[in-house]
Amino acid sequence: MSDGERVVRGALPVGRLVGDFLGSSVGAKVIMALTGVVLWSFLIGHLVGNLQIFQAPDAINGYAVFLHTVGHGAALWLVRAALLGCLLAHIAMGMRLTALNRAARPIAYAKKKRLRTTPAALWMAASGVLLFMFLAFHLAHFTIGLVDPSSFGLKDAEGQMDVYKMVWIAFKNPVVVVTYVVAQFFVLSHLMHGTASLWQSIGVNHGVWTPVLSGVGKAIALFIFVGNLAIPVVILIAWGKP
Amino acid sequence: MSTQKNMNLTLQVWRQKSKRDAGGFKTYQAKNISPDQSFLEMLDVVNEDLIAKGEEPIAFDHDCREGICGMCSLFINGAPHGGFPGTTTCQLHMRHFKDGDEITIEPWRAKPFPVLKDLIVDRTSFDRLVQAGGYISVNTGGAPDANAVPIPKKDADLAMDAASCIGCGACVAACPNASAMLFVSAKISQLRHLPQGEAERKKRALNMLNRADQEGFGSCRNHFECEAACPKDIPRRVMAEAYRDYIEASALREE
Repeated sequence: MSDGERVVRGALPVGRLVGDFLGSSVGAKVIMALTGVVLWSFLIGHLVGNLQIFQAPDAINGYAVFLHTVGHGAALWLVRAALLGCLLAHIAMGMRLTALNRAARPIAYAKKKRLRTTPAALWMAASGVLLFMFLAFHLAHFTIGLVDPSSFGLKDAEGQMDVYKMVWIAFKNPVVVVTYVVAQFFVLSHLMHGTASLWQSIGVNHGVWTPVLSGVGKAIALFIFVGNLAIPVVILIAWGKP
Repeated sequence: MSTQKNMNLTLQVWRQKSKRDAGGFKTYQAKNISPDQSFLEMLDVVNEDLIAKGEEPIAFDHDCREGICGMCSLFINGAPHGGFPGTTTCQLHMRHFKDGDEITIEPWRAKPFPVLKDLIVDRTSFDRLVQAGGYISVNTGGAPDANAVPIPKKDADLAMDAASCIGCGACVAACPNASAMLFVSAKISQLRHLPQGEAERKKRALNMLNRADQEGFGSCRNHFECEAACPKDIPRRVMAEAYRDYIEASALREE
C-alpha cells in the first residue's frame, strides 16, 4: 500500500485472512490446540458416560437411547459432525507441521541429547497415528459393529439396544482387552503433552496459572487413563456373565 | 588455578570442505589440554598441531570469547554449547571434561543454517528475520534525552530478559524441529514491553513470524529444548507473548 492511502475497511477478503492464518505455523499451532481441547473434552464426556457400565444394565442402555433420541436424533449427528471436523483439522495441521519440521533439519545430528523435552512430546506424531488407528478399530467395534456382528444390535428386555451386554461380551475376550489397554497408553502419552502445552500455543504463559493449568490437565489425563483402563480390565476379571 | 591435571581427549569433528561437499567425521587427538582452557582454546591447540603437520585447521566461528557476541556455536556431545546452563562454547571450560573423554563436535543443523565450512554455518537467515521487523522506526535527528520516556522497572526488566539474546542460534540447533521461535520471540518481546516498540507491535509479530516460516525454520511444538539450551536463559514466556501478538494481529489486520 502506498504512503498516505487510506486503509479501506473490508478491502481484505475474509478468505485471505483465514487462509493466511491457517497457513502460518503459529495459526496451525492454535488450531491444533483448540481442536485438541474439543477432542479432549469429548474424551472426558465419553468416559463419564461409559462409567455407567458399572451400574445396572438399564443405566447405560437408557443412556444410549437418550444419546440417539435427544433433539429428535439430530444432536448426536451434530456432535459427531463437529468432532469429525475437529479430528480432521487436528490431523491435517499435525501432518503439515510434521512435514515442515522434518524438512527444517535435512541432516540429523550424529549425537543429540534430550535437554528439557519429554518422550511424550517427542512421540506426539507417533502416538497420534496409533491413536487414529485405534479410533478406527474402536468405531468399527462399538459404533458400526464390524468387529463382532453377533454381539452388535442386541436388544434388552425393554427392547432397547443392549450396550451393556455388547460391552461385557467384548471385554471377556483377552485379545480385545489387551488392544484397549495398550491404546490407553497412547491416549495418556498424547494427552500428557497436549494438555500441558496447549496454553502456551494460544499465547497463555503466566507464572502462577500456567503450572496450575498444566497440572489440572495432567490430572484429567490420568483420570481418563485410569477410567478407560478400568472398564475392560474390571469386566475381564469380574465373575459372572452379563 | 584448577587442581585437575592436564588431559588427553579424542575428538570426533565434522569436517566439510565447502557448502557443496558432503562432509563427514574425522577423529583427532587433543593432547595435554589444561582444565583452565576454554573449549575454543582447546580447539586452537588442536589447530596449531594440524598446521604444524601441514594439515587444514578446523574452521569454527568465534569472536569476543567472553560470551556476549553470539559468534561461537558448536554442537558439543549432543547439545548446543555443550548443554551447560547459561554457557556459550567460548565460556565452556575444559574442567567439565575428564582425561580420556571422547567429544563429538558438530555444526548447527538446520536448513536455514547451511554449513559453509567444517563447523561454520551461515546464520544470515537471522539477519533477515530482524530485517522483517526486529526494529523500531524512528526519525533520525538529535538523540532524545535519556529517561524522557519513563518506563516502569518491571517492564524494563521484562524487555531486558529478552534483549539479552546474542543471536547465536543455539535455540534453533537444540529444537527437535529446528524452529527459530525463541530467537524471533526474544526480539518481539524485547520491543513489545517498551513504549517505543508498542506502535509496531502487531505488524512486527506478523512480519517476523511469517518470515521465519518463509526461511524454512520448523514450527514450535513446545518441547522447550531452546529454553534449556539458551546461553542467555531466555524464558519460554517470550514465545507465548509472540503468539499472542501474532493471533491478535492476524485477527485484526485490515491490510
